[in-house]
Amino acid sequence: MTALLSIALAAPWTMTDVDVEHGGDPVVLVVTPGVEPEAFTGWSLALRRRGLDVHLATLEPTTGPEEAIHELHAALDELEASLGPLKLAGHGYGGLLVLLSGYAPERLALIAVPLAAQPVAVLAKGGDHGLPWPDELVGDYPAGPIHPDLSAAFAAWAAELPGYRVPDCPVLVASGNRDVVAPPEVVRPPSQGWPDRSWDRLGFLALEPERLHMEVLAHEGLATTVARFLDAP
Amino acid sequence: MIPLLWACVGEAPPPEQGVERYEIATADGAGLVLHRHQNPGPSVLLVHGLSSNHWTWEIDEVRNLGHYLSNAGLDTWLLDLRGHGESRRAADGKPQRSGWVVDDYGRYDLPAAVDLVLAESGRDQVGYVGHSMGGMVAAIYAGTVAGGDEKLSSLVVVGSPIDFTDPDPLLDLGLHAAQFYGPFVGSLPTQAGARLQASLGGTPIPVDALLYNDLSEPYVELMYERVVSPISGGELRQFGALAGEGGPFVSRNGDYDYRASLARIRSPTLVVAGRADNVAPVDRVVPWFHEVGADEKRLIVAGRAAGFAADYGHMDLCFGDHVVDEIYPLIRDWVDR
Repeated sequence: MTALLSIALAAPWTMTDVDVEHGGDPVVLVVTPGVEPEAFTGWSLALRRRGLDVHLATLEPTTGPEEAIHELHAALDELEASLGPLKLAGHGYGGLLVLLSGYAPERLALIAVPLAAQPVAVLAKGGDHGLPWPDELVGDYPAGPIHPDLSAAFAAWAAELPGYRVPDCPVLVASGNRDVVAPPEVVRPPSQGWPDRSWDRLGFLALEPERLHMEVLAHEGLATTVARFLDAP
Repeated sequence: MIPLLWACVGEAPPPEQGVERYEIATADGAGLVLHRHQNPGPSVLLVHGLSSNHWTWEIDEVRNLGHYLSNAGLDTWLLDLRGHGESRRAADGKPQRSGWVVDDYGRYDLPAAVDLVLAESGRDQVGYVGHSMGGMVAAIYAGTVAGGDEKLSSLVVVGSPIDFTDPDPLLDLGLHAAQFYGPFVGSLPTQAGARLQASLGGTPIPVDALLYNDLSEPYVELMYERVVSPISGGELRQFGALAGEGGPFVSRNGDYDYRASLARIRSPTLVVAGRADNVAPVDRVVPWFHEVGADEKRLIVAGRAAGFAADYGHMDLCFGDHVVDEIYPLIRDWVDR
């Protein structure tokens, strides 16, 4: 795994190349701070099998959300300089960081990315709304380091989301009914007015097992949907 | 062969002792049956959803919202919409199997039922609890019946979709099929199919996961045995019209947008959605909460993230394994006013 995740660019952000041979347009998956890049490896390989030239952008902010957003924008600018125009995919709060950065990709896949605050009714009881979500509600994943300020921001964003610029590129938004971090009610309706947006409900109607928030990263059907979307001109 | 015959004939559960049965006629000549648990407390009317009947609320002695509210002292009424449950005959005594649309439930059935409850109870208002389409027809009633909303002391909608935009592929397929087949069928014999399913011992079929997520085996069989009623061709046609680009929930002739009528509802409104509801996903229910005109309103998403014992599916909200402890009290507290 370590060999597979060879570091391509220097800290504070890193770009991890999971491709052996580069094929189609470069696609960057933004790794959510607090999640180990290994969690994205399966998804990366699934996209690569579908012909995409996949890279991971891993952030390592040492403070709160402002630094993470700044780092991400700088990282994407530099990747664009070396790879050309980028197509992006983000999952969860990693995708939200893309929106908050204001970076304008060619195409953008937002998978289980909350686009509005959750109705309070969705959150667990208690002063902190039960956040962060326990693993049993989000699914197992290899947790990585995250600065406490950024972790606190993620928790706060569930109840009050900061403003972001609506992307003007083609966007795919997707979410599953059982996803507590980004359930469809904070993904589908808030994105309805976007200029060029597609919607996909994951695991709908039990034709396949429904996935929790982190489990979608191992979702072959999702990989196909994302690959088709990102591979379009 | 025996299961097939039984499925076609079927047997309704025997009438309960202490429950009054009313037969009334609507203004357009349909026949309705209501059951009443008479009590001195506030009145409340329970209305089932598409292809269901009043046993949705009273699937057995234990998971029984009628008994629960009655034991709390409420004057509790259960309605079978035309063609469902015991409302099998029109006012003239002829069988009623088809020939109506969803509009008719809100424009004729609910006014007749609400007026009966008010007349018999001597009250000015009645609480209303609707599951799935039973909630949607409350929007029709409030939007099209003059003074209708003023007769409702409270409104509880449970797993009731009101937003059909961004149609999901399978929903879209179903709606298109309904649009195509609706004109050719008088009614869809879902009841016979469900009873056949029950008689075969509840063999898992894909539709199971559509309907429930927290329902133990004996109740799955009971659901197929008791709770399913036929769907009229008119219902199919009207729901089918939602297909395509995700049309709004409008009247059959397209002249009335029922979702827009939510703003006219001033009755205190409780909106209950199930996190694992694949028939009425939370995002298709939540607009009730955002758009209803009531000053007092509350949204509950019944799922583990909100502290519930399970992620509730569509029918779990009526008779799931934890409904008595978790959902019934919420409904009771809302309508007992």
